[in-house]
Amino acid sequence: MNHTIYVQAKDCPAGLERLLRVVRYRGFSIKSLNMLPSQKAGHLDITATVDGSRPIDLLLNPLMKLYEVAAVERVGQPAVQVSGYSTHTA
Amino acid sequence: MKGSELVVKALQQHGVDTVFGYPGGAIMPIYDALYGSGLQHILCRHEQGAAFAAIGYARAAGRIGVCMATSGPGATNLITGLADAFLDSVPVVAITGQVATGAMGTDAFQEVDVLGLSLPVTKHSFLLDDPSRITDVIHEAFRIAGSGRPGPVLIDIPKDIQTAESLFAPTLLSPEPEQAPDQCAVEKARQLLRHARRPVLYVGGGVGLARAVEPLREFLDQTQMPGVTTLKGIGTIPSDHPLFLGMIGMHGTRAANQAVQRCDLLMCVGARFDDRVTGRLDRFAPDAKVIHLDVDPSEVNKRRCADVALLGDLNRMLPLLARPLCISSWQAACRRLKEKYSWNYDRPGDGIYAPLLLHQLSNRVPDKTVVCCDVGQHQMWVAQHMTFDRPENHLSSSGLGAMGFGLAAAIGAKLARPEACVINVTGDGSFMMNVQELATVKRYRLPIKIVLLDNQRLGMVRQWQELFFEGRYSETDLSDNPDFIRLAGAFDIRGRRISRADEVVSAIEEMMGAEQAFLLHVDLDPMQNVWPLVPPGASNDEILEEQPA
Repeated sequence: MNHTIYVQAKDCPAGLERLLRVVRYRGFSIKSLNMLPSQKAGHLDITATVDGSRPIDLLLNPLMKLYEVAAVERVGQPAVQVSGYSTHTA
Repeated sequence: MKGSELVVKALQQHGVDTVFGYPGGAIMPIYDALYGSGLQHILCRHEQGAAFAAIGYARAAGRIGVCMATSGPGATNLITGLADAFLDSVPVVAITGQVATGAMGTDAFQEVDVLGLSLPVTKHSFLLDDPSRITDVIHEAFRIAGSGRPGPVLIDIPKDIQTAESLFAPTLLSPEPEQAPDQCAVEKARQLLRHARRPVLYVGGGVGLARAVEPLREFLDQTQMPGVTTLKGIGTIPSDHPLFLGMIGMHGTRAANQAVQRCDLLMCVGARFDDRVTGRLDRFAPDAKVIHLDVDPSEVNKRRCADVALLGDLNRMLPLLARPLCISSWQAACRRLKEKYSWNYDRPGDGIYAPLLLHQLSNRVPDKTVVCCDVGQHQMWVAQHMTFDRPENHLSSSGLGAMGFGLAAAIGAKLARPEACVINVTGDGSFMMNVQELATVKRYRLPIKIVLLDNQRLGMVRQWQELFFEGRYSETDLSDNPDFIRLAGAFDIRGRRISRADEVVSAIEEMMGAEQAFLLHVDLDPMQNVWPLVPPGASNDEILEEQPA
């Protein structure tokens, strides 16, 4: 099943690599990927279409824990902001 | 100040007094800065040993462990340790030297992409490419390692950054923001608890990590709910608590597994429904509603959906749910289960029965003893037959299951808690995986007790070959093991070998009376198995017991 997700992440080394690794490890594959500088300084806006048979929360929750990630949103669904209490482990 | 000196100073600012590591070319400036710094460096004999020792130190002391290694092979040897820390949520900061920035990406001597290697086995990792950021990055690494759900953080530092001049900028340490529990979820959880007739408390390693053992025990006192633990949760519930049913899962007790299978409410605290715990997931606790308390949102609904999830600090959440329950008939049923399935140590013959030996050992160790296991049959026997009063006293490679963990972890534990008796219970397969750390035991004169349960086999794999592979014993025969007593002797470690049941007590007493390190080499029948056992892929209802001979 395809899902479109939006991730806002700090622009720092290995950030995109980490994100892609989590997508693969949690059982999803990338169908399309778009990355642009964000209006938020020092950040990137990443939009991806992913395919996978598992519930999408099994991907979104680990993505939210990445150190670089500021926000994760399933396009068409409410945004989930990373709280100050998140654990940054994916 | 040089970058390497900044590294040492920043470590000291974080209260680090001991680091574990092994020097090499790309990290020489940091080792030069360590020289005469007052920071104690423990030279392990393999970087994997250094990582496991840092984990043992962190887990036994409740502090952040620090290990370091050079670039290339030094860094790759750390990776297994980082994976262990990642899967067991152990706060560790690893520092690796890297080739100079100008040489990076050219396949230079001892160059490997450490940042890339670290991605799946760390909570986060940094490549430090700016000497002015050294203090900030080390501070951030410690913050990440120790906050929320703890874990390992790696900092890769190129050699030219270590030698560059920069200024030390003291970092203000600020507390982590706290999250208030969700009151709506608290009320729903209270309702589930009030209406439950057969509740069970399922306790994982997260309770100890959150330093929430006391609130957990207070919760138990208030609710008198029957409790089970995971491997990492052992020691969280007092072993003599009348409603503690033991470890759950593949080698858990029948009482724990039956109670969970029959419960109507499972309150999971700091645990993650691991496959070794649940067995066949769709038949795990089939009638239970689930309350899940954890600091990590990604564990909720990952393997078992929660009816109520409470996210945050267990110290704040547990007291909100601690109310007396009306479950007297269920408590009585669980007590009967516990009595019915209590361990039986009667065995015919003169040979040594490993569970009995560990039971006897457990009865003869002083308070606050730390037991560091390796991985395999002996690990499960320790979990079943030794008792622990605190989770930090039972160190086991639980998530990763890394053979070779025990001796190095014992080294770290002994350095963290020199007043405590530290015992490494190991097997003949595991012991040989990091046997070089006997040199570390000798070098620092660490009075660690080693109990080597020797069945001349890779016992757990052999057991599975017997039960599930038609007795085809592929590559599990270790009958050409070295003479372990002579091997220990080469490191000035005294020992004794026993093979009969009537030697066990005197040998344990001799070992416990020894002031220096001691190896107790125990000969076992190779065909001893760990029971009970839930076969792989089976439901926890399908638990197997030993068949009478």
